[in-house]
Amino acid sequence: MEHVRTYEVDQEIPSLCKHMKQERITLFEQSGGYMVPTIHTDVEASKKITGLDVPMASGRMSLSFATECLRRFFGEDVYNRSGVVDLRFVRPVRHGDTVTVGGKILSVVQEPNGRRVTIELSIKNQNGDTTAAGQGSAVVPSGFFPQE
Amino acid sequence: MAEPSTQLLDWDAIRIGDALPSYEYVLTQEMLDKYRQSVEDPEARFPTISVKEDTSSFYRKYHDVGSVNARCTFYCYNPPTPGTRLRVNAWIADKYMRRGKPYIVTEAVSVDEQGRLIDRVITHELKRPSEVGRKWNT
Repeated sequence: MEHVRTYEVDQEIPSLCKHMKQERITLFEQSGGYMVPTIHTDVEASKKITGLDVPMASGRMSLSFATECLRRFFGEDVYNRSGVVDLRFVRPVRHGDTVTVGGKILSVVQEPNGRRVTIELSIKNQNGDTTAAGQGSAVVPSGFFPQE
Repeated sequence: MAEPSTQLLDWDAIRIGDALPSYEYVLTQEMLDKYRQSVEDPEARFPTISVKEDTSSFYRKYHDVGSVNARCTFYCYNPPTPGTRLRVNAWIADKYMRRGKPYIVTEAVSVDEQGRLIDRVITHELKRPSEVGRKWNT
């Protein structure tokens, strides 16, 4: 029974913390093939296009952090095959910020091959301001639950 | 972002359901390594997140003044294997005005050489990026 997992509504998931550095914000863009200056990597591009004095990290970095947080919670066997994350980006994240992903279980719903566990997610910066919010979920196979 | 072969975005002319250019790329080990380093997650399996497959396809057809990601949804189906070629199919999923600001929603799916569905991504982009600086520059 070592593989039995329990999921209860309002259960908090372990949080995940990341310290933002411009080198990694830039590397994120480069990893995807974006080598030209952008609003994420270049001060002048940022000023010209968004009006921000410093570049902001791609929202997809926050998406990646949420993905990691959920994968650690569900396990890669479950999350990498059925995981979903849906985030609204509400405040820029920039070099020097520390962001923390957290959440709690919103619902556990029966599906044909298991139960979809949905997490209410939020990402906050070092000031406690929300930078992104949304939901994530995965379908946990029936075999992981105790027999009823 | 402007490319000679792309057309200037006309928000009014964009139609929901319009196909965006399909394309292929090889997901390399270097891309995976850089992605993992950038997000400090050595177990990360979806470097396709930083490829931005949907908006990459969008900018193969259009150029504009830039945009800002307002919302993004990412579905994991099968982790891609480094060294394999992925094919991306993308389209305009929606467009809308919210609080007087224009948004375009792009959607893409990627499939590997074996026909395995890798991921699906949906992005809501604010097409008036100067709004960000107006609100958040301090």
